[in-house]
Formats: sequence, C-alpha cells, structure tokens
Amino acid sequence: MTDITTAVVLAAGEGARLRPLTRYRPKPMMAVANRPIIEYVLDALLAAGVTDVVVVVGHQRTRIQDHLMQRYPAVDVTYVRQHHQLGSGDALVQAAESVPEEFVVVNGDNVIDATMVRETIARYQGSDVAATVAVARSDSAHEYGTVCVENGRITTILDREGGDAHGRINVGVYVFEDTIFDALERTTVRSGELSLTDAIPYLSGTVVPAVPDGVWYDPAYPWDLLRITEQIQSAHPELVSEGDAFVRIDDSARIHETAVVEEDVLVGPGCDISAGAVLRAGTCLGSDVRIGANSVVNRSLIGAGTTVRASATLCDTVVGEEATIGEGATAPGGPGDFVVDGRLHCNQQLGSLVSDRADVGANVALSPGARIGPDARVPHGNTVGESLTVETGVVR
Amino acid sequence: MCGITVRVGDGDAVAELLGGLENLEYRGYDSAGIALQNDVGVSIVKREGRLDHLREELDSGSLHGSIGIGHTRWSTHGPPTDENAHPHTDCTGEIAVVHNGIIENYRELREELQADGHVFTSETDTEVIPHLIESGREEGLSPERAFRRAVDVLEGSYAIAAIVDGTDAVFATRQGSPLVLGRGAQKYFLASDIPAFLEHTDEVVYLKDGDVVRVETEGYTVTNVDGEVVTREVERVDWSPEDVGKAGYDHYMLKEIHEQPTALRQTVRGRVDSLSNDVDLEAFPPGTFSGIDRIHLVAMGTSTHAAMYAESLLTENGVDAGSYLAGEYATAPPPAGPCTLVIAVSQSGETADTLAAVRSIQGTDVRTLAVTNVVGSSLTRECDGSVFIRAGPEIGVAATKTFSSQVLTLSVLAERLVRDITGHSIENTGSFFEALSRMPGDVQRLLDDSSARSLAEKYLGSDAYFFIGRNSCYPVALEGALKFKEITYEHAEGFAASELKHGPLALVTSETPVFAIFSGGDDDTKTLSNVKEVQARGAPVVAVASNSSREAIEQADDVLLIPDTHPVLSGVLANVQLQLVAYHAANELGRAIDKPRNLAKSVTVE
Repeated sequence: MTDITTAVVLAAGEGARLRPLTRYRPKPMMAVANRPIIEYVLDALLAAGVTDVVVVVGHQRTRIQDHLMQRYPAVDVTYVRQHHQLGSGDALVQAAESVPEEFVVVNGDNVIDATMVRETIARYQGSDVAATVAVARSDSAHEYGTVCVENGRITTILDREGGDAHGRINVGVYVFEDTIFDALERTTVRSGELSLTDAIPYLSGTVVPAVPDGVWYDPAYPWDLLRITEQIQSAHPELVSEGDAFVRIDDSARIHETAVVEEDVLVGPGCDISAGAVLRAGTCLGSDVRIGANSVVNRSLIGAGTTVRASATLCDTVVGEEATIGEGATAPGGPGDFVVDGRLHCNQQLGSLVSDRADVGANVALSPGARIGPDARVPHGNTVGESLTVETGVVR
Repeated sequence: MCGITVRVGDGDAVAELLGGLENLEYRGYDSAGIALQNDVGVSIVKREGRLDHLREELDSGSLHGSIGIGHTRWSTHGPPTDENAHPHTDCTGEIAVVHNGIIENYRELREELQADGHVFTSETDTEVIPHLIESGREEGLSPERAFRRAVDVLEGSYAIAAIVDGTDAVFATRQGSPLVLGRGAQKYFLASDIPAFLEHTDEVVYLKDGDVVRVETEGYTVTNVDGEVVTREVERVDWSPEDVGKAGYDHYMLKEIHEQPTALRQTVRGRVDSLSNDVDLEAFPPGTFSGIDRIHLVAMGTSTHAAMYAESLLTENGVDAGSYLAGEYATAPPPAGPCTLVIAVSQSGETADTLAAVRSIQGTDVRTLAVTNVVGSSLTRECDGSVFIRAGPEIGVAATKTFSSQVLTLSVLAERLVRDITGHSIENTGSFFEALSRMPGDVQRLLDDSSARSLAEKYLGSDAYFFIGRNSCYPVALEGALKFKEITYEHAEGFAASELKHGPLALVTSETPVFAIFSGGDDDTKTLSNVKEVQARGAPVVAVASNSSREAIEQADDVLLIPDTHPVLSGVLANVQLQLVAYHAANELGRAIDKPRNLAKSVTVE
C-alpha cells in the first residue's frame, strides 16, 4: 500500500456567516488563538505525512497565497482557482489535474489537528473502500447535516436542515480515490451548487466513516472566534506552540514596564504596548498591533496592524486588521444579539465587531451587538446602538 | 552581467547545474552552456538563446559527469551566438572556463597569446583565460598554479570557474564580481548568487576578492591573494528555495507586488515606534551622524529613484542632500570631505556602478553607508556601515517591493539624520510616524481595491505614456515610467511636472495619456495646473491621488485612488498603482514580464 501524501485544501469560500469580517479576508484567514485557521490545517496535514498540498482558492485568494508563501516557504503548495463559488464539489473538481490516485481532502476553514487526518487515512487504508469520511458526534447536527450510516457504511449525508439535532456530523476531512471526479460528474447541481457530500452516493465502492479522536472546531460565527480561541488556549496549547516552546509574547513585541499582561494573552510580533495598558485574559493581538497608554483590552481579538489609541476600553470584541480605535472609545462586553443569515442569535458572548480598516473615532461608544463594516468611519463622540450594523462608508 | 554555477560531488551534475542556471536566469539570458568533467575528458554543450534551448539539447541524456560548470550569459563582448556562449576552452579543449564580469586588458592578452600560436574561436574577453591556463600547463605548472598565474595577469572585475581535464576539481576565484560557495551533503556548489543552489543547501561561504578556491568531492580549500590557506566562515542563509517560488501568481513581479505589505512590515518592524514618535536603528544610535553636514546619495536605476525620494525628504527638512547616478559619480565625483556621508543604495549590493562610486572615495575620510537588501553583499563589505531593507528575495527583473522597502528604510534613516544634523525632527513627526507604521496596511488596501488593470487595458495602444509629479512625487513619476518601459517595451517617460512646458509638452497629444501623481500636499495646486495644460492639448489624464486631492480627482479623466496618508509618503502608494498599471499592460501585450529583453536584475558591469 502506498502512502497518501497529497491533500486538497478547500479554501475558496468566503465564510458568509462571519461577514462583514470576510470582506477582504476569507474565512481560512480568520485568526483563532492568533493564527489563521488555515495554518492549523496545514500543520495537521504536514504532521500527518502530507508533502504535496493543493489549495483551492477563490474569494480574496491572494490573501491566502501571500500568507502561505511567507509562513510555509518550504512546503510544496500548488494553487488552483475556483472562479465562482459553486460549492465544495465544484471546488474539488478544480484540483482534478493536480492530484494522484488517492488523496486527502480537508476544509481549509475548520481548525483540525494531525490526529483527524492520520486516523482518517488509517481507516481508509485499513479496508478496501472507495472513500472515508471523518465524522463526529455533535449536539448541533442541525447546523451541519447528519451523516447516515447503515451497517458501517455511509449511505447519504443529509442537508443542514435535515436530520436530528443529535447525531454524526461530517467534519470535512475525507480520503478519496480519483473516482470521486466521475461521481461528481454524475451528481446533480442543487440551488446552483455542486456539493461534495452529494456525490458520496454516486461513488461505486463502499464509503465508510472514520471517527478520529482529534481536534475539530468550526468557527462559523464571529463569537465562535472568541470561544474557540479560549478553548484552544486551555485545552490544546500545543496547537499554538512554536516548536517545543509555547510563545505567548513574541520576542519582537515591545511592552512598557508599567503595562499589565495577564495569563492567557497572546501578543504577536512587532506589537507595541504602551504605559499603563492592561491586556486581560483571552486577549490576542496579531502582529504589529499598537495599544495606547492606559487602554484596557479584555477577552478581545485584535487583528494585525490595528491601532488602539490611549484610554480605550474593549471587551469581548473582535477587531479586524488595520483598524483604528480612537482615544477613549469604549466597547463593553457581551452578551449581544446578532442577526446572521436572517436568523437572530441572542445572548452571544460577543460585545461588538469592528471589521478591517474601520476607523472608530475618539470617545465613540459601541453597544453590545454593534457591527462596524470594513472601511467604515465612525466620527468621534458617536454612539453605535445595539444590533446596529454600520456598513462600509461614513456614518454622519 | 552573467551567472555562474558550479557543482562538484557524488552523482550526476547535469540536472543540478541546469536547475542552478534556471534560478540565475534573471542575471542574463542571451545564451547558456555547461561543461562537464567525465571519463572521456571535458564535454561542453552551449546554445544561443534561452536556457530552454540548452535544456532541449541536454534532454537526449548523452552528457554526464559529477563535476561541472555552467553559465548564463548577458552579452558585453560579442553578440549572443553559440560561439560566444560560455564555457570557453583552450586550443586543446581540455580546459573549460566560465566567467562573469569584464577582463579589461583582454586585447593585450589576446594578442600576446595569439603571437604564441593560440587560436581563438570567439569574440569574448573570457576566452583569454583558458588559453592563459593552457600556457601555464605547457610550462609544466600544476592546474592550480596555472590557474592562479592566469588570474594574476587579469585586470578588471570577474568571477571565474575552471575545470581542467584529468583533475577532479574546480578552480575558482573572484575579484569585484560575486561568487559564493554552497556546502551540501557530499557535494559543493559555487554560484554568482545563492538562489542557484538554495534547494540543495543553505550553508554558504562568502568568498572575498582575491580568494582562490579549489573544490573537490572531498572538500574545498580557500587560499588568499598571497596563496596562504585561509578559513572563511560558513554562514546559514534564512531564505528557503520556495521563497523564490511564484505562490500561485503568474509572474514573480505580480507576486512581489503583492508581497509589499509583508515586506514593508519587515522593513519598519522594530524601527518605528509611532506611539513615542521615535526611530530605532540599532547600529546607529542617536548622535551617530553628528558632525555630518552634507549627504550624497548614489545609486542606479530604480534605486536612484528611491535615493531621489530620500533627497527630497532630507532637503525639505534642512539637510544638505544630493542624489547622483553612481556611474556619473564614479567618473566625476563632486567635492566631498570628512563631513560628507555617502549613502549607496543598491538592491543587490553588487551593482558595479554603485560599487565604483564607493570605491572612488575609498581611502579618503568620507564616511560611507550601504542601503541594500543583501546581507554579505560586496557593498556591505566596502562601506563603513549598512542598513538592510529586509524586503526578502526579489526575482522579477523589474524592481517592485525593493523600491518600497528602500524608500521606507531611507525614510526611517532620514529621521535619524535630520535629528543628528539639525537637532529637529522631520516636520509633523507624529503623523509621519503614524503613516510609516500604517504603510503596510495602506498598500494592502490599495492592492485589494486597485482598478489598475482595467485602466491599463483602456489605454493600451497609445503612442506614448507620460508620468509627471513634483517634489517627492517626481522620482515616482520617473519610476512609474521606468517600470512601464522596462516591461511593456512601450515608450514611457517621466518628467518633473514643472519641466513639462519646457519641452516635453511638444510630445503631448490625444494619444499620449499622462499619469499625474498627487501627494495631497500643498504642491498639488501647481501639478493641477500642469494637468490642465496637457488636457488642453487633448491628452487624457490619469490622476494617481488620494481623496484629499479632491480637485485633482474631479479634473482628471481617470483616477487611480490611493489611501490617504502623510503627503511625504503618498508617492510610495502611488508607485504601487503604477507598478500594477505597468504589469497589467505588459501582461496584456504578452511580454516576458519577469525577464524583459536586454535587461538583467543586478548589473555587475559598469
């Protein structure tokens, strides 16, 4: 039996439920515990023996290319492009020319560890099957769709809405043979999308589930970014370690001696933390973040290149990249209520959301549930009310 | 400008030599060739044209050997033909030589050798070298002594590698041209530049001028000018081979344009503190430049435009600074003394003209400072101090990210210079520092939203392309035009906006789009008048401007929008838009964007 050393990473989607954070950065580039999701995926694949990586890119693809070439310079990465977001099956079809007979497929926008990949491959190699699909038991099967198993074989994978709340769900790690491409050709396109899971019944051989005992998180909603960051830090610190050492504060960050940095805070390279600033537990600062004097940041994620000016207070807040939070601006913590995909999500542990490049002026008060869109400018002194979304542009 | 590769060790050398040449193709690509040492003696294959021609020839698999030398050529003496391609041999065909650089006294040497009965087959300066070695061999010298004696009579700048039939070794030396040694597992490499062997090893030995190295499968020996065995430190490079891959982009140039946010972050990281408005250049603490009263910036090509940018920033803040084309500076240097600082700007640190400018003042009490991308390059060794731009490897012949990194590095350096020399800070320090810190994000924003592609397509087929700007936007106009002509082969010129009506205006018609660069500063009003002048002659105007240049945006026929920033730094952003315009125009025209005709990445001849 030959080793499986090629993997296709599906990273073309936007991650619409994370909007408006995803305007400029696709979901695989969203940071949890200070690392873009796709880094966990690449680490998992490499640790599981994958040497050739094919990444299907689409929405804001250059962000993924630019990041991976810098972060994984020694890895053999091939990029193929999905021009229109026409489903996971269509995405995989783009990689058809770039894969050998047997290969791994993973979602590029879910956090996984090497165990997920390794055990799925082992299950595939341990029996004569056409494909293996990694599944997990979940209480939120209605979010993901149920995997129907009969006599140890997968028959169908139901839609999100179908199936019970409790059940086996598809976690987006597969091993396929190249027969999947024939199956995809026979699969019906539904609502304009060709779904990878819809092709499973069309495979000529047996499809079996793998139940790997590994890490799987899907940061589907903005508040998940905060929650999963905490879970990774407490339960899986090895996923954010550099080599053997767990780097909390990057060497190149400059922290004033009077600043307070609590445990469970991650500070990226090039950050500047001014006098009297307080970084409380659960906070992550991406690279080159500047925190002004006497600002307090509590359980918040701040994206690369963002400036938080003096005396600002942020709690349970997700801030994108290259944004500005003005002097004395406040964003109190959750719970907040958010409408996503036309559904109201109440009492989520998220205060407010500030997208990439937004400029929140001095003394602005953000209420729980406020969402500031990319490039939006909130003039100083304004209050952005509950559940209010400020789209791109200027609020007067 | 040429590239050399050498490979010595276990196994067959052909594939690794070709791979090395491919990675050096940016240094020149008129012709290429390799020579191998094997059972039947010295075998040579060389072809005019791109490396593909040589590869096709070698694909038959007829040529083998574990020791080989290779060369990719950019013509200086004699046109690109099979005969003029390297390697060159002596009369017997037993000695083969590759060479980068220029042998200045080759005419005399050639005449002497011809008088002794040597027969020459090419028009190159290089061919004297194998014949010189041959005559040493005839006198009974060992290959190594014959090589050393040949090198002793050469004048000029060169890096040379030679093989001699019957000796399982390569002999090499350098004088004024780059040559680095790579130490792999059971094999060794020599090359003009590290990417040639980076996929096989990251352990590198930088050879010094005058060093002669003998490389065998078992190891290597370095001897200095006096023939004494010396130890040269083995250093590890932190580039990886895929740093020089294309990462899913069609061209290195586009990849490198997109790398700018990352490159600029590395450039400014740790050097700019926008919260306390301070700069930190470790090797140059405050006071380093006290006592300096005049600055000369010397550079060539794109680096000149970065130097001019710095000149404008320095003079605006009360420092007496001037920028010079290094090639001119070397031949006609202006007055300089102990209070002069010469800043030499070169991406590669190997630019021959720039090195010549620095050498022209060596031995005087003038202080010199290198601003370069390459650690260990000749420029860093010849200047009193160095500041690195930290842009990472750049492969596209047309410089993109290194210009932006040069400007930002020089801007940080300018703050130190202005403070040390005048006692004040750069005007509006707070917003200047804030803008420096924000530059990586601003470039990313621009890249995400740029309309350069459709604009480039719209104006394709024009008679000529003009670029105008004033103050710090003047070098950007020159750089925009340089980039455009380099890769599109279309006629493009940059002018100071004020100069337009003193001549160039005669060229302006409805078929010559004019790109006008606006800084958002006080000088915009004047540039706007110049825009109206060209519009009156029917020329379409593309304003490269931010929203703070509202009048310009309203007046122009088309706009390439840049994020709002400090007026001094607007030019960096405008330049990125112009890089994209040049790229998309060249791509539409089907040009060889990464290897434009007649050009080489770093020009190591004067």
